[in-house]
Amino acid sequence: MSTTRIVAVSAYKGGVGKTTVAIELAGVLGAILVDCDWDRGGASGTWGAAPSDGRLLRALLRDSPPRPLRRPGRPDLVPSSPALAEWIGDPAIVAGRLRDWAEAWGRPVVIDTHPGAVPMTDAAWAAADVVVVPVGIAWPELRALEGLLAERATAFTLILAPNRVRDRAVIRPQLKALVNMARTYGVAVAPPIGDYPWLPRRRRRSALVLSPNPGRAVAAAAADFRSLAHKVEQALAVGAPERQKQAEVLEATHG
Amino acid sequence: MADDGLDTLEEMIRRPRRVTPSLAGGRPRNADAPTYAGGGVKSSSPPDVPTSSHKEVVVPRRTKVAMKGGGDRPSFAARKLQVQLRVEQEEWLHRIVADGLRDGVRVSEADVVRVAMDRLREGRAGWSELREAILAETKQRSRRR
Repeated sequence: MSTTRIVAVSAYKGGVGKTTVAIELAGVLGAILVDCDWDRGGASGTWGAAPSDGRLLRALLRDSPPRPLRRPGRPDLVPSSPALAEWIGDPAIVAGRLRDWAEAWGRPVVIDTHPGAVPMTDAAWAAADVVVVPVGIAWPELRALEGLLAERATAFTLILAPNRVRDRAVIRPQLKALVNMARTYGVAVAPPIGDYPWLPRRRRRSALVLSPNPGRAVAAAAADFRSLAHKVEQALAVGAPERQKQAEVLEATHG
Repeated sequence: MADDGLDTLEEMIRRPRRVTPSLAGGRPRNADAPTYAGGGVKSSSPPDVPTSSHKEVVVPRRTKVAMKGGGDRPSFAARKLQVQLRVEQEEWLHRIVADGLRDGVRVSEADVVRVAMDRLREGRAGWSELREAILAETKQRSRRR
């Protein structure tokens, strides 16, 4: 029986907060963050890794676990590089390698993904025990979510993470739509993450949840991410999903 | 698995909307809601009023608003407040505006609402004197200009 604990953070829509969620989640879980998003705005850039760091691609080619980067206040990271965009390997093989690495590291793994259903993202889905889907409370994000749920909710253990939810100006129709979708597809929903307008402007590269002396605002945001991590741990405790069914769904997605 | 997130979202959906107090001096539907002085939250359905019979009037706030981040001047959006009027309130408002014109005073709807709300806040809510007060204040202001 596999002892790996792999969490993919993914969504069809970009700009919903995948990278932030992945970094904070890795921080809470003490996980290694594997960045499979080659765009510059991804976790590697936020973390402060050099864009030319090609260790992930090299490790995929050689099938040996990459050595994660380490810095205080940040989760250990296997950085991405723009060259990863050229990678067109079989998602099933990449997924197998990701699971082997998690086994070798003996630690949980959080994978930050590129938006959409590109092969590298599908590999992360195939490797994951749980997929966290950050959701913005707006119609374009909800439409993208509906597409994702229709295609994949039956085969994967999903946790919807409502992100940037304003407590003061609640947008009821959108919230209702999200609740209806979660009920229709029987998907778990994590406690909402609040709207912190300062977060995208933050210059510090450390994870909020690893801040040694957080101020009130950071502590509030970190508490939201800890609640999400708690939900993820609950889902991980349930056990590994059925891989065969997942492979069929991923195959069907790409025709 | 307990769906904490779903519970929280449903609670947010059920939470009552914040409303501004009625111009007629009635209690706000949500007693905990901020009042004119401190809040200024837009409401889309005032208490006990059919939704088809109200209108919105933008009232520039005169009270100084403490700005987040230390700015000394609130934005226009922060200074304006939207209130909703019942049909009879709106008719009364039009009468005041017409009275003002007859007396040679140009009164805007926003002026009327603002003076009315200022007086409500101060606990001086008598309707008969309110009309006179509105015209007097507007006359005074037009003289200053």
